[in-house]
Amino acid sequence: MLLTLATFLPLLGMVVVLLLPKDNKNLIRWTATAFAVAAFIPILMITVGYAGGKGIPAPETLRAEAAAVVAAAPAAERGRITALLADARANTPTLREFTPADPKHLSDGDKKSLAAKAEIVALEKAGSYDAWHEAWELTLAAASPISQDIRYMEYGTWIPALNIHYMMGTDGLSMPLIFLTGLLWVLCFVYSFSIENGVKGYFALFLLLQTGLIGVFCALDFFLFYVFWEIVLLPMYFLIGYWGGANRLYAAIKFFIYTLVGSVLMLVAMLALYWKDGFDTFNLLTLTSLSGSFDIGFQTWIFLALFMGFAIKVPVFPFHTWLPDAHVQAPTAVSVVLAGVLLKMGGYGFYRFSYTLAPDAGISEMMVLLIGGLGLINIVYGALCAMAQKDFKSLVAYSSVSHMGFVLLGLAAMTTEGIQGSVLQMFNHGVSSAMMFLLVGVLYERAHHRDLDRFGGIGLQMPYYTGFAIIGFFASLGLPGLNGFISEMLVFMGAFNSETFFAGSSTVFALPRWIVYLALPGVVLTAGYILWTVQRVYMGTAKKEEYKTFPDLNWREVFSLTPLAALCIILGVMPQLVLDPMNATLDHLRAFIVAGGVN
Amino acid sequence: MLEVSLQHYLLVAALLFAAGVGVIISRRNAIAVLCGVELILNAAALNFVAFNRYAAPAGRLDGQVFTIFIIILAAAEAAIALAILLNLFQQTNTVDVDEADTMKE
Amino acid sequence: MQNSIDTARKVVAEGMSGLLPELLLAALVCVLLLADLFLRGVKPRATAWIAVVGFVACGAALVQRYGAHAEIFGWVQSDGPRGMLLNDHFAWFFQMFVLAAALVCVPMAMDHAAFRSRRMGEFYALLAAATLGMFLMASSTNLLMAYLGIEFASMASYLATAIDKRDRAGSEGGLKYVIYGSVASGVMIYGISLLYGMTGSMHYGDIARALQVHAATEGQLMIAAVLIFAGFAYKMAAFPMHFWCPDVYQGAPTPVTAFLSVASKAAGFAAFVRFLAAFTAHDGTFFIGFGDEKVPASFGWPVIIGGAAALSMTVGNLGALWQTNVKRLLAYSSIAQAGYLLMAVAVYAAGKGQPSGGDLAPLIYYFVAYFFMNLGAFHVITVIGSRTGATSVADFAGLGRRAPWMAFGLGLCLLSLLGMPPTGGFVGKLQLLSAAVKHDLLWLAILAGINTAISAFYYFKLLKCMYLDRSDAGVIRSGAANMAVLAVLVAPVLILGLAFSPIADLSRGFGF
Repeated sequence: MLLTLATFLPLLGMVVVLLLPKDNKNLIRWTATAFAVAAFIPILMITVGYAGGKGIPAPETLRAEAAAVVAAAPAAERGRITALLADARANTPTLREFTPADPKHLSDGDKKSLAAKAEIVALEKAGSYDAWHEAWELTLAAASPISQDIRYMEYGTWIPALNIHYMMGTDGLSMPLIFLTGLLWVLCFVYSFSIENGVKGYFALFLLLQTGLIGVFCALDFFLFYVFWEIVLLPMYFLIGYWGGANRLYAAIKFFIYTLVGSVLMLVAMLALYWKDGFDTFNLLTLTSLSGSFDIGFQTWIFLALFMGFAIKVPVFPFHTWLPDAHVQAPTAVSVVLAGVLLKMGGYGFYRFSYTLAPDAGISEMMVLLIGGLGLINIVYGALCAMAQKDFKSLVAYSSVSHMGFVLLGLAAMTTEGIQGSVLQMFNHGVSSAMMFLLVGVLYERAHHRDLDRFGGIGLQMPYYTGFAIIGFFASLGLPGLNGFISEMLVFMGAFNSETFFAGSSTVFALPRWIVYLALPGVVLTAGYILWTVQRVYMGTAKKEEYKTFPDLNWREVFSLTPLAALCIILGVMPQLVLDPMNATLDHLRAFIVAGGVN
Repeated sequence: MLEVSLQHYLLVAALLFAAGVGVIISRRNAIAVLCGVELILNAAALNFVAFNRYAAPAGRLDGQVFTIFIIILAAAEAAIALAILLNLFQQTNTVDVDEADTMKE
Repeated sequence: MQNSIDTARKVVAEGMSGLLPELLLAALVCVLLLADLFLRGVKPRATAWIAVVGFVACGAALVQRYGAHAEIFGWVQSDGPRGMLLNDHFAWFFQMFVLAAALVCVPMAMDHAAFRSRRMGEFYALLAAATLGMFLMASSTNLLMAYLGIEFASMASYLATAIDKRDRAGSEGGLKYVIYGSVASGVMIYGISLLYGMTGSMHYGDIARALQVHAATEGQLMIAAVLIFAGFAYKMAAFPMHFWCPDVYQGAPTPVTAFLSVASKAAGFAAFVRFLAAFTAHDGTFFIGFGDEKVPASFGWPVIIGGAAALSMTVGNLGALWQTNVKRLLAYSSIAQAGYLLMAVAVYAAGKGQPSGGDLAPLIYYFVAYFFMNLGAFHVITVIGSRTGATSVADFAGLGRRAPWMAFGLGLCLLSLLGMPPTGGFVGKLQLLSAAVKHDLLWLAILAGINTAISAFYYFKLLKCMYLDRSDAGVIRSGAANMAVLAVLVAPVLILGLAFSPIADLSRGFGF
């Protein structure tokens, strides 16, 4: 119930906002903010509850649902169904078409399969096939190692004709991102009070965007996930296209088309999985418990198709070119959520889908080198590009490209520290990049330009603002004591250890150490462009008279920046606040991938 | 003495068809194009009659019936085409198909 | 002998009673023409009501016929009756579809400038005639009947396109339509004559039987198949007979365009799928028989249709990119949509005979979604066009503010045509792609995916204009009746995308 509330309260808010009179701007702003806060309450409850070990574990929910399905079947068929479910992994729907290669000399396995086939056919004749199929799905989902850490699960049938379910849940991987979404929306709404044109549309679209994002992080049914994934696209297009800068239309359609290309390939992969061996299921957990048996060719194929979809979102070099355009043109709050949460959809997708549905492909030499190599390019190339920017916002945008490279590097390493660092980096980047975009927005509202070379001496004029700026930029730089340091260090440790860790492994290809050596200069480059920026903008004397008249932060800006600054510091000192709740999830996930799924 | 067989009919029909297609492709005059269509229709009609005589089961007249329909429909189609063409001609004083392209950009 | 004459009488009698909807339509044509003569000066709108009553009566008769499975209107042969028409679930669906489209076009035409004066009655008579032709196409089970149905529907459509005599674009469109249409039907009929020569019959069942025992080479069949396909493709507005589409759609009055893009296309698909079902072996290749031995051909329908599908969507989507006229843009979009729909037919041909194959549900479902999204889009274009004279994409600037509900409706329909969740177009396309993936036409699915991304450019061109371009033009009042039609057309687009389980189940019932 909590997850549904968190997901659909914003949608309700959108409807309410649309019904309000257009001219009463303050009413619209406060109503929208109220809904963002209302959605944040269940999110907080889930976050605190999950960290405290509360919430019903998914396997229990799934088993209960399976039992309910069996109980609803006719009494005569129940025994048959239960018997088939006893060995759910072997008794797949594929058996319906099973014919042994040599009918004269049946092996024991063939005999068992034939017996199961007879049972399935009998069920079909009795009209209980669907019941068995759903119970089978649920039983396998409950048995999946991925599902053991998922809690707060909600399960219901949505479209029986295509076997689509409403299945939501959260674990240590998605929970931090859901929290971040809830938090950023409250902050962004307060910050966005300064929007004056098209207020109604702005807040309505923003609320729709929140529904899409929380849905993406919660959905465990592939179809449901895809629907939320696409829902995110539309409001984003209009938010950039209507409220953006001079070149907004180009940026908006570029963002849209790039993402659409990726998601269409994802769709084909999703359908290929649905039809794989006649499983007929969109249930992600069921598919993960079967993915170990997919042959490597199919896995590679699936991995690449999904990779395209997620890589464009991250964005991974060479698909990153939409990002600077979108950021530069987007209004401040949109940039904040774009960097803070939307990019994480890609990283989240890698963990939740790519690696669990194609584990063998993920640890193969080709993919490790691909992901690790692209991570390296992202880090170094992003930092170099950031250094060359004259526009403040595009500098921050390229810093995002660079920072998301760490996510890939940690992922490719496949070590405990690497994965922890990688997921933590997603959260930390969400905090620090959101903060940086807010900081740029604050300055832009006063100066009406973002040219780095024309600033200077802001520190003297706006001391409070500069204080926040120093925290945000240094967190992004990776200064010890602030959050960015922890995740980057974990990633480097993990990536460095990969060769040692997997030295004896015949299945896992270890991330070569040379990639790590090449990535290390990225940290120096990052320090370079950030320190240089701080120097150019905040130090020295004011280059223009008008800078001396800039007022310092107002209450809305302080309200938006304070929680983020606090998170930067707190997580720099006590990273275990985020790491502890997600450790178990990540450990199990890692073990699952390294073992090549369940066999 | 040459016996006239199915092949001969088919050959004539094929030539008619080819001639019709040739006219349609090469002429831009709408009336000429319609003449080309007539050639194609007649090629088909000839085929039907010949096949009915040589290939169809005894006692069945499907091909002959189809031919009568072709003749009727060809007349109806020509009437409609000419009516529309006349209307266009009154507006533009041309029957050239290529001239009727004011909508392209 | 006496016995067989009795049987023949019985067949004809059953034929007449089973033909009630068609007879009603024929009567409606006559009534409308007469009413137009007498009421033209007195009550010009009365013909609209007559048309509505006639279509509803036909619909009632059609509902009565639901569940029938009868081959009617034919003759008797020693091994059983041969019909011209086969009334079954498949035909019923497409007949209902065409009738509903005609019914929707009645209020659309009332609102359109071209019919406001005196041509309304004539137009409705032509609409009813075209509907009748499409009824026959959907249930034809004989190549002669299919051909007659196509010609009947075409001739009424040619005239409807050029109905406004003062409008040059309409005349131009009409001329192109009739000229290319004659060429297409000529080519098709030549193909039919070849097939007739190979099989000695034009009845689908007889063709299928004959192809199993007669010797016909793959090359011969190939030529006949491609020629006949050209004729059907003309009605479907699919590659290679798509080039008439932009001019005709742009030149015709918008209600006619709407009718052509939905009903005509559906009838073309219905007739083609019927023909295809008879023509293919169980593995989707041609039937080729030498004596008792059946030899599967190496090259079959999935390749021909799949190729036409791929080229249709690519040509349509690329052609649409540079269009500035809204109707022309939607014409190219409709070519692309024909490509998506052909994909379902290719999958049908590929899956025929396999377990859980031969499924027409994706085609049926996509057509249901297509009905609402395309008619919805054309409805808005008619309403806005008749009030502001808007024809180009730029004329729709600021529509989001000037007519918010109309803009919302059009926007939703465009998103659905693009295939974005949560709309019916997405679920339809999902099922099409899903079927293609299932039957190993992966290349086609991926191509369709890439095409979807391309099509976003031009659908968003219109969306961008409506919502992101600013305009100072005044608010447009659309009228309550038009709002009601909009709601009827657009609400299902959302329902088909969110709560579509019953419809997806239903769509499985309309196969063969």
